[in-house]
Amino acid sequence: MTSAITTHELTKFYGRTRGIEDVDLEVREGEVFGFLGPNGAGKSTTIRVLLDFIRPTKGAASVLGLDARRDSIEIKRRVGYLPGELAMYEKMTARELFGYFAGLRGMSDLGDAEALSERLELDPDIKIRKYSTGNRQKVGLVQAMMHRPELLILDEPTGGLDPLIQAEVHRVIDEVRSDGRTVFLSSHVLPEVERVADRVGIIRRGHLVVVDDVAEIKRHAVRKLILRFGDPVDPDVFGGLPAVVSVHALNEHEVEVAVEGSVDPVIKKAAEFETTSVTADDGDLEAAFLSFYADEGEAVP
Amino acid sequence: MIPTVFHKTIWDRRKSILWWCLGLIGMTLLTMASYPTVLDQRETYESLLEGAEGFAAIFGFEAVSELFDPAGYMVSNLYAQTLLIVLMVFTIGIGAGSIAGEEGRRTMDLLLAQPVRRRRVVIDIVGAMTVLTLAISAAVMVAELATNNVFQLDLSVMGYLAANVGVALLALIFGVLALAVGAVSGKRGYAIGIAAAVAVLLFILFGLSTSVSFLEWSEPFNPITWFIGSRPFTDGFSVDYGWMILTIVVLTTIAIWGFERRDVSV
Repeated sequence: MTSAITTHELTKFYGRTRGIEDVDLEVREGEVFGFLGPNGAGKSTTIRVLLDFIRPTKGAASVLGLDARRDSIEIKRRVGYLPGELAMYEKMTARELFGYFAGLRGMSDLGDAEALSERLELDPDIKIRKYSTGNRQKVGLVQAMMHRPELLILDEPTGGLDPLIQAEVHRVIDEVRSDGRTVFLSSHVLPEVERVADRVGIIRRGHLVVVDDVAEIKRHAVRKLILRFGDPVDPDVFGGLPAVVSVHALNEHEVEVAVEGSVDPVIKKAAEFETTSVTADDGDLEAAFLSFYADEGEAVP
Repeated sequence: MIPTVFHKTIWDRRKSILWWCLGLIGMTLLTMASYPTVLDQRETYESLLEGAEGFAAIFGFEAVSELFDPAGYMVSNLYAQTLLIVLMVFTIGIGAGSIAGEEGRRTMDLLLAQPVRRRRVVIDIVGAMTVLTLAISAAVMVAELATNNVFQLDLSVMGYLAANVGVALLALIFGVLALAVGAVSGKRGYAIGIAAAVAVLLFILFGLSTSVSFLEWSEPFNPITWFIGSRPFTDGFSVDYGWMILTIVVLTTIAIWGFERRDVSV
């Protein structure tokens, strides 16, 4: 399988400040790759080097088999990009913006812009400054996809979107993948990446810490369940169960159980008592995942 | 569809350009309409300025009396003054607003995500700035030609053409300078500040170099000389216009170099 994106020791320093350091990344053609990390970890820096907005201090990157620096124009012809901090021409309508970018791309019409707008329920004849945050994000998404790019680079695509539209965006991403095209998606929330990506790379403080299949992450993700019982329950009954990482009694009636992977054994055990409520805390799955890798002896800075 | 950055730069100003034209035409006609009155008082003015050859020199003339000839009047009251300044405000606005301004508004990432070369962005902006500035100058010139005889100026068509092309070229130098500073630095404030400061300095230098002997050397290298010193209304197109065009080309090249080599700010 060929690669949609390859980076080799990709490093970017802003003066003395580290953006990214020695990032070796490979995104395969046809996959949805989730690029996960907290804000400021280096996600946007990596993307901006790939698109030749900024130049690496060291290392090299290639996109669709082309050199990110030398062949930047050809790359942009074949790539769609949604910036993380989306700013657009406020005085244009969305349709005018699509027309401008279609013009710069040498397209004879608006491509898929019309159909995508309809699908995302976006009225393209309104001035961009009048759109809500969610609608602006839709405009950004449409301009990224209107020319049917082979590679779609989305920097935090669902930030500011309500859940319904988030779901629609995820469906669009699914379709792009089923078309055989590639999606590189950066996000700081694991559930989103978990939902749409095949593989995920986690970046922390400028270093790519780990790359793995999403299924693998799911297997190792640690969830916290808070079980509430009608009668006092001895927390130790959960202690010996498979996949349970830790157990804490919050009070006589409440037990917090950390589970790696399937919660099935815990739920079955809880069913033996009068369970009044179960809440799952997906809080920081990513941190839990990272700690797993740290335990495995992987380098987590 | 807006097919290029060139078209977009013009499209952005499709409404405001009308106001720039109307404003400058109004200013020009007001100045021209005052000429018959000035002519009536010519002797009084001349006696007031008697012996002030240095004052005449800063508008490119030798004798004070020339300032009250139609050509001298137009240059000293319009082309070396308000018309030039307003056109410079216009070009510097485009120059500073286009690359540095686009970065400041954070839209540059989106533009450069399209398959457009940075050098093409620079060239398109310079092209659009040139077309817009010449369009304003053309509008002004039409108004001038229409009223030339009414206000007793009796200047030639060639004189008007040379003066309007000259003032446009001079304004373009500072607009492209602002573009170049913005392209190198990415900072709109620097672009406006440096372009305006250089313009003021060159004006002061031009004024001084006509009377201060140790600054005389600077005269042939000063863009202000290339325009004002070439006496466009009487002498028509000067070879010095070539220097203005060359300066614009050099500054465009610097803008391309500066923009292509650096990181685009977020």
